[in-house]
Amino acid sequence: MNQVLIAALLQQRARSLPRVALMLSFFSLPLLVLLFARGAGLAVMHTGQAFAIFMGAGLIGQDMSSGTLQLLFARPVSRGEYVLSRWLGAALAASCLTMAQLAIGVGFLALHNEAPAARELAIFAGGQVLSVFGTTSVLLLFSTLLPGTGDFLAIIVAGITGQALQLGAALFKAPWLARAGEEIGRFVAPALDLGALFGGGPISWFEVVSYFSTVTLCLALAIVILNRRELSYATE
Amino acid sequence: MRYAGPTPRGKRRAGAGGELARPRGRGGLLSGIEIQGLTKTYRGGQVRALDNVSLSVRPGEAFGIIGPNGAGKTTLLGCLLGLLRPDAGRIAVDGRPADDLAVRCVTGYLPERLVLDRWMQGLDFLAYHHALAGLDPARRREEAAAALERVGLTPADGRQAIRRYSRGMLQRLGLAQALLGSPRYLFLDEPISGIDPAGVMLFRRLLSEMRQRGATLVINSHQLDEVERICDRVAFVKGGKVQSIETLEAGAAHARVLRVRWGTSSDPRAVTPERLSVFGAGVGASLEEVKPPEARYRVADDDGAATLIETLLAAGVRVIEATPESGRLERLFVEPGKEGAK
Repeated sequence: MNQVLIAALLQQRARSLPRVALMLSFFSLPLLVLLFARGAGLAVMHTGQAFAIFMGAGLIGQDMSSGTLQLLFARPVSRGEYVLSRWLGAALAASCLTMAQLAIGVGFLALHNEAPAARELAIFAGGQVLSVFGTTSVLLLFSTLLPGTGDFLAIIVAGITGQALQLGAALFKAPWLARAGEEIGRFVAPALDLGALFGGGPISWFEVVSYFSTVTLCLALAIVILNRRELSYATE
Repeated sequence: MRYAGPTPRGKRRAGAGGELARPRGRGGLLSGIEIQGLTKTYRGGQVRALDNVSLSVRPGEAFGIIGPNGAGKTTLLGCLLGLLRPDAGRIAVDGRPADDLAVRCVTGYLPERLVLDRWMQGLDFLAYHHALAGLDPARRREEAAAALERVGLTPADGRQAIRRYSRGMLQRLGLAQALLGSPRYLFLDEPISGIDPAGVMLFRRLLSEMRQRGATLVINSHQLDEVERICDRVAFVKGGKVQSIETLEAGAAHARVLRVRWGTSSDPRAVTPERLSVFGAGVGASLEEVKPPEARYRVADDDGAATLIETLLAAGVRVIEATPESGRLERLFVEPGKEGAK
């Protein structure tokens, strides 16, 4: 991992006003709900995926479209190192936001005497972090394929498609359609239910393997795609 | 942004001072740039950008690449930098493949299209590239500021966001980042396009300094007079092929038209068309045209031009200006295809 690239990514994100505005609103709205509404619980703070999307949109596509990658790769930086640093930087930043929000949210819950148990809190926090890392890896893959912030659009469209297929499955009573929608949803938003995993019951290894294979596949494909990409305006 | 942290992966090399970046070639030997049978196509082979190009650039040499638009010059630079994958052929920089990270530790690159990180400030941009280049983190801010000053940008310019930079400032900043760490190889794509005369003089001086330090320069440019000033040898690329590689001294053997201008204090009897023609004929130069106070002579080479001027001066023609109608490179450029296109 390249600390310089990670620092540059964070700085780049912090300088984008629309991005900061979106993240601030997703940071503060659930907290406002927790502050004023009783009984909302941790459910309103399922924001990990949203933070991952806002932090990660255009992760590579933006640099590719702007043309800055040419100069970057004229430096002693490997493409794999660049891809992994962007992924880790975005995922860590989104995780930190999620954790900060969770910490404040738990404080508000405590004000209402609704603070969750430590075990429940740890499982929720872990699940959110896994969701952040999973979503960022999918965005990363889309970002190597699409220019600008096309990855953002792609993940939204894929998510809607998954939901639509599941809706269609319910309407037409087609289980295969439901499965297809479920798989798309699982790919677009890789997550692990840590509650089920540490609940004492049988562990669903399929879920575990599915999550880690999705993340690994996305990272590997992103590196391969960027390695194969030619970066010169001579190609235009 | 402060890039003062440790250099990633322990990559460190010489600073921006006098010493050139140490080569990391096999055995530490400098072997320059070797290109053999380089072929590059686009659109599934429909467009042949480079066709079996072979050339070598010696260590410490300034090598120019010139040719018409679409000749394959930028593609050649792209391949040299490892940004493009050749279809066939081999490139070695200091004996290593062009995309080897060790090679990138000793190279600097100034692209033609300066798409820099617009959201950064000028000084931060240099510090960022200083870090990416694996230079000493302890001297990052100091060397970034020195690089900024070296290209004639002020500290106030350095605090400005890059998106506010003019074309000339961008070009200067681009050169500053290319020179960071005194790279042993400098790849410059149209280095002086869009900059003012003061900037051109600064670029000349900096490139001359780099040459004196032993850096190898590869310059792709349409500014033939600048290439002529800086380069030792020039490759004429056309249709993806190297048409010829010429040393600039070789240009002296080519005939050219010399435009001679005289002052009003010249002897009026000496500047008649007849006398001017006789003076020229005496030294093997033919008079092409006379439009007082100017005459155009065709001379055989540099020596012929010098002898003609000496003769004219001796005959009372007060020569105040003598300029070739086209630079040596322009003529070389035209000659390979005899098409007269620049």
